[in-house]
Amino acid sequence: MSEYAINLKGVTKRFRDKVAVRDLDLQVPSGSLCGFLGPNGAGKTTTIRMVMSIFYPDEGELSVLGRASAEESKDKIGYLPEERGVYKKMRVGEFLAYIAKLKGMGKGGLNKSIEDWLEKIGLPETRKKRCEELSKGMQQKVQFLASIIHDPELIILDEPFSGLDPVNARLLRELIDEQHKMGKTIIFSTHVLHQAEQICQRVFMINNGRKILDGPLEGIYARFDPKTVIIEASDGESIGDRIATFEGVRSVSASAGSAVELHLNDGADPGDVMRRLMSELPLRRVELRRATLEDIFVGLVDPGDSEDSVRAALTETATAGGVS
Amino acid sequence: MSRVLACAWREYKATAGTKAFLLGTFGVPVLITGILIVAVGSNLFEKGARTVEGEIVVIDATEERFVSTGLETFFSEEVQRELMEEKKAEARKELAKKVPEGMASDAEIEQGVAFIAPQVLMDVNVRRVASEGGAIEAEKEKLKINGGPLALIVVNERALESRDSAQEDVLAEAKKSGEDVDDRLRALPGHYALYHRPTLDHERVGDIMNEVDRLIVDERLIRTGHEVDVVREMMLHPRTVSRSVSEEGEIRSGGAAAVQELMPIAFLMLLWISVFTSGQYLLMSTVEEKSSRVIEVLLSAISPMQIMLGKIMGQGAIGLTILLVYGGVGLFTASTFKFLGMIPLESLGWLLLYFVMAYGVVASMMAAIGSAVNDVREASALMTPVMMVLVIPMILWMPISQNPMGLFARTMSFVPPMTPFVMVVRVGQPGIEIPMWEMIATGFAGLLGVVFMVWAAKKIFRVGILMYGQPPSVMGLIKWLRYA
Repeated sequence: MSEYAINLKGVTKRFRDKVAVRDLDLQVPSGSLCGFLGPNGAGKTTTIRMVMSIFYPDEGELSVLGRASAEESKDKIGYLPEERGVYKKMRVGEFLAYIAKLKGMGKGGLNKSIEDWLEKIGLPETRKKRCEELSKGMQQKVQFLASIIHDPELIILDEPFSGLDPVNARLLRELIDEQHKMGKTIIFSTHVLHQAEQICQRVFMINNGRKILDGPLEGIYARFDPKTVIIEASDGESIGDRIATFEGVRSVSASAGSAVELHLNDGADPGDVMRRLMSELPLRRVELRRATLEDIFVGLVDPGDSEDSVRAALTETATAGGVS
Repeated sequence: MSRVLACAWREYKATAGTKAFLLGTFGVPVLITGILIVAVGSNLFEKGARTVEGEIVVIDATEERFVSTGLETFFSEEVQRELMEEKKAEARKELAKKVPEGMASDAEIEQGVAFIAPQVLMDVNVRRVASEGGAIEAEKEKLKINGGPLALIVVNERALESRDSAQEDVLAEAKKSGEDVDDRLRALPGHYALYHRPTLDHERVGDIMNEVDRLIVDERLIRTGHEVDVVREMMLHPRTVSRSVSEEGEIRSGGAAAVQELMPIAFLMLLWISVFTSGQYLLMSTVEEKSSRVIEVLLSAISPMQIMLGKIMGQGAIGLTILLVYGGVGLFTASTFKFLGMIPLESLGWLLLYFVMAYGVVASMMAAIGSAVNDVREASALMTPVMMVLVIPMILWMPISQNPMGLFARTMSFVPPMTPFVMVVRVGQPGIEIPMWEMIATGFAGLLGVVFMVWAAKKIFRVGILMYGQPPSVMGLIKWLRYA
């Protein structure tokens, strides 16, 4: 097994005069569980399609599972595209068997495997049903099954949680975790950053076709020190005038309830600020907020994009589940 | 290759399992075949021996009543049997002219003779009625009664005279203005009238009229001192032997005319229906896979070229099924009606080759168009090139069929999109032998056309299949050839 399941070096992809992916370097270690993050239009799907040899890069090199392209190792890759569908008139069992055949699986044990998997995802009675008879969530689970039925080494999931209710999203997370524990490399793209925080070991972020963040999640949290303190005044106390000019505080914003968020200056020591806040102001709550991926992302985007617009874009894509 | 075949098999199963396909491909031919079997089994198409019985009333006002006498002789059993044999002999001669030698067995020819010359025996009693006032109207009334006479013939006393053209013209003018002048015409020189029951078939009516005509003309000849047999022989047209002469040999001009006209269009229609139907299925299935987004799942497993080839092969098998089912029904019908020998069976192998060529071109175009659009409605805007390939042969089949070895037909055979359609019309002609070098050369040109179209379609398919939004124009599609 090679060190990296996916290795991209200086990859660029253009569509006419629009650069979708620009000079991208990316290494996905074998056996890792990686989140591929970024807002809509960032270039995630284009990158994945290049990895899958559906598109070809205009510049740069890539290797997948140690081969020069996915074409040579497609049978070892499971892919759940963002733009996914099923044959409406086909029966669920036939659909899964067909995709498995296209992935090079023989007939031996295929039927048993399909039965077992359908049982596992809670759809044992759907095998003989036509795909169009299933709900959207059920279809999505079948599509996920189609991407792993052939027992691949590398699993690429493009926006796997979009359209799933919380119960099915949890089931999918468990399945992903189970596959990861079996030693498979899993990479999934999402624009819902907190999903990545829940399950990923490693993330890489892109924006406007460029990589802006890459590394293990813990390392990223360590690298991006917390710079936000949440405080709540004691009952009946007014502290608004004093915190706006408090030493070490850059800006103030409203938080949940009566709490406010204090965004600290880059050089400020959060511990020192918190000590002074407790001693100088009538507070009933002082809390250091850990930076979220969203905070980190907002801090990393191009200076041309305002903080508010980037947060709005992330929120919008998280609720709309659009195309990236 | 196994994945391409898996793709093809899914494509075939998905289409062949639809109600529309089952009904169109099997239901209709089964219905036609069933009707044929029932009809043949119950002798619905048999025009075999039958007898028409009844009475013919003759009001003959001529001096010698020669029409009445002549008809009595004509409807005698002996004369009727002789006539039947004569008709069969004529039909045999006619068939010999139309069917090239060796193409039909004797038994098949006899079946054809029975079909063309039905053996109807007229067991008719001729009753003379005097030409008195009111007799005609009274006898006409009897025609309306069930069980009454079959026909009434009224011959006026001047029937033997030559026709008076001037009076006829006056009456013809009156007729144009809507006046019923038939009764007045009946009394003119050189005229007689025939009234018959609606149930008497037109062939029998024709037989009676022909006999009355003959009796009057023969009587005229006799009265003017001519020998009837001599005049008849003199009136026979000279027989012509005409043959077309070329480097390939001599061919009888106009030989096997009926078969010549029928076979090429039958072959062309068979090819057209199978190619167009399967091409349409291919277009719809490509659009469906693209619009339902299942295409990207497939692309993660196999290449666009493999998907396209699988789809073309699968729908090609659909076209072949249609070709075989409809062709089989055609052969069954030919066998049922005993004209199987007239079909150039050696051409059926070529028909398969031309199906592959025609389908290859049309399917490539359909796959390319299907990949470029978002729904079937958008595809109609890009269908012009496909329709040209399909419609031009329908326009050209007549001139090509009339002169299959002419310069036009031979030139068109080398124009790839047209090659299979033109060649199928040419090889479908019985009695025409196209030189082997031409068959091979046109086959090569046709296959070259298929290879080019598949190459172009592959490029368009690759670009179009993941492209959504505004569909391109025909020129846009051509531009895509450069991108891929």
